[in-house]
Amino acid sequence: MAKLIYSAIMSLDGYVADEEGNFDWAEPDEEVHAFVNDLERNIGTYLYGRRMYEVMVAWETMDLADQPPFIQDFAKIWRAADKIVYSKTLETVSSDRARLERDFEPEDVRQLKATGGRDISVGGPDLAA
Amino acid sequence: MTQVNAGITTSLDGYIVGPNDGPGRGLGDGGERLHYWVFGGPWSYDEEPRGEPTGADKEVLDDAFARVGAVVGGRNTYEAAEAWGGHNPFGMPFFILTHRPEDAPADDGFTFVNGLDESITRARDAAGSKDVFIMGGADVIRQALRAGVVQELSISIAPVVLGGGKRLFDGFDQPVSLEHLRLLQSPFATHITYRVVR
Repeated sequence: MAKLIYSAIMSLDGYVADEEGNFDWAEPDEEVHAFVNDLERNIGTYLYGRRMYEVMVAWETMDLADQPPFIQDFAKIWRAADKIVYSKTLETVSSDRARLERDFEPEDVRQLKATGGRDISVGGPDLAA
Repeated sequence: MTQVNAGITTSLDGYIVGPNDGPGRGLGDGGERLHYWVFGGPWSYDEEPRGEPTGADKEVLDDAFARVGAVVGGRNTYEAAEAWGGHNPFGMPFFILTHRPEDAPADDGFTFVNGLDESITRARDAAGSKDVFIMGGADVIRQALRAGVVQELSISIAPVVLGGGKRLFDGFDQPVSLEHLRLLQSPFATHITYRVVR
């Protein structure tokens, strides 16, 4: 039985992005990133909406050579996990271990929870709600 | 040196009261859960007695009370709390911000003042060497943040999503930079104190 986990970094007044969609103010420092790494180490599957996927897919191709260990650590965690991307408009997904779904089916997620050995993460405020 | 601090409890989704708050239902539908930390666990408006805070919750309250010399609260909060039964609950000067100071009760436990500036000025005088505490509601805290008078902001986040009510930052449209000062955690609340950066 896997857990379904929703996590997000938000401002005190509850925003995950500003009016222009920016979230540079929420960029985690090393300590927070290390915490997030440990939080996500047991994630087997990420559920994303299109926007969240388009942000996170940068981890697939990022050149890690000059990056500090906590960045390399997260990239390894992210690349090893499966991703399900829910989008009506995307034509393909560009990373390994990712598949595209047109509609969000709660029953599929229940199945995944019941049968999966590793936890599931849901990202982005719309999809989580 | 007297500081002006503000503090309030919110749900994870930022509500300071649930839906339908008002006299007799001070914290609105389901709002009692916001103050489990104040009473050491579950309580309700319908049942007495209420418990006492323990651990980190007690530490937060004791520390707050030790530093405060005067309290500022809003008229809506005063009405929703039914004037705390007609008695100032804090045992120190308590200024109620209102557009109708002429409504002041004869009892001198509360001082009605018109306007944020006047309430802060008078509370500073009354606090002596101690701090002024702005207890809310949301509108008074927003006014004080907008006016730039708040030096420390304490938010106690109760572990509940209320899904409705009054939001602390409703309509608040300017950025405020904050620094973490302290963090305490109990089963009933996460208490965060911020310094407001100027």
